[in-house]
Amino acid sequence: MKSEQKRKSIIAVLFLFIIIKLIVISAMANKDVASLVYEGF
Amino acid sequence: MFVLLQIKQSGRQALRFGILNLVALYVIFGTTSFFTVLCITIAVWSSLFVIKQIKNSAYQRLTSLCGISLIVLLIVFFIIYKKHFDSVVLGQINPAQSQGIDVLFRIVSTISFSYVFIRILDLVRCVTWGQEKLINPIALAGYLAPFHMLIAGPLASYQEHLEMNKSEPPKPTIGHIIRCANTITTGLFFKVVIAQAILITRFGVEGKFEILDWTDACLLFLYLYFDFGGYSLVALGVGRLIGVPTPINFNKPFLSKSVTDFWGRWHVSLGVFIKNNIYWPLQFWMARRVKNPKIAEALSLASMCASFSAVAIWHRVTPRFFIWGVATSIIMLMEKYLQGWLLSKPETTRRWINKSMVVIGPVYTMIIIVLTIWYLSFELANI
Repeated sequence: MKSEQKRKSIIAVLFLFIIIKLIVISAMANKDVASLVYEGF
Repeated sequence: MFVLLQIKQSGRQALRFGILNLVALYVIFGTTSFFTVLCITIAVWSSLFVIKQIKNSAYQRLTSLCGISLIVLLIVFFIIYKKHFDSVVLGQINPAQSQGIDVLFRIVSTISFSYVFIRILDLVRCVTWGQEKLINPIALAGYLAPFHMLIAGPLASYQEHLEMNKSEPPKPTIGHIIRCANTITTGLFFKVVIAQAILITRFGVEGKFEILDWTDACLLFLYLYFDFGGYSLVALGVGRLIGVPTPINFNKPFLSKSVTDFWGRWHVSLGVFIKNNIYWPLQFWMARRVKNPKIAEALSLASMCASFSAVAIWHRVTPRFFIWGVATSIIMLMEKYLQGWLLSKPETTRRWINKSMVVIGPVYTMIIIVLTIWYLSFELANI
């Protein structure tokens, strides 16, 4: 795999990973993802 | 206009962050905290400006005296306020304790806020005895009370903060933003999901830390790691995102092979501060004066005890924390002697012991740490 493709796939996996974490965090904090991101970032 | 012109110049990252930080403090913590940080920064900056002038004048020999006086004054403030007030955060005092408290008290009380206090000490050392330059008060506010590292660290040294001026901030590529967002969300996951789950499952919704046996001590240890480590990861991610030096605070502490190794991996930034500001200065000071190697070894224990006692008092001014500090330094010294003894053994024995330590080391370390947490559980639950 070319290094550029490798970099893009790592970023895509990380992005997916971030979304999953945000969903779990919002479920635990009892808030929807949009308001969590707004408050957090 | 002057500030805007300054921002546009290259090598002004500290000033840019200083302005951003003041805005963030105002938005996040409110007017009281904003003015408190400004006042305390101007007070510290003015004191150091005077010391700098003395350093460059004919009265150069008074520099150390002024620096030591300032440090002693800061320590006295710290101990008095730490002893009497638990929740002083940037001029905002617990309502139950705030009756009859004046404005000056609120400003001075900021010194007792642990992380601000430590940064001021590092700054005084660097400017008084080092070659570091004193940055302007707005940029300095960004070092003393950085909004993302305010509540639970980590602690960037003054030298690290000045490094910011030498390089341009990272370009906001998608890869960089995603990596920072990953660090931030991992930190939030540690804090909100794992630490919270441990807290609710074992200690209840109200989070009353009742340590009845060693399993509770283990759970408190895990809770502390995920709670504190989570905060630190969020700070690390935010710091990297905006290009501010933010050190790593936890470096796989569960893999430590000894207690000495553990304290090099747990709250790393505090360890670096203690080494730079207490341990090494004491060691150098004693090495210059003591020639007898046996006395030097005894004094090495004294400087280690002083370092850990300082860590203990920084957490809380109580006898229990002080005893913990002394006991930990004795354990670390014993490990040092064991290492010396190991070096005197033949190559094959050394190799065999090193291999077995890969398994025994982490188990031994965790037992010692859990025991110390058990001993300190009451204090830790109230931090």
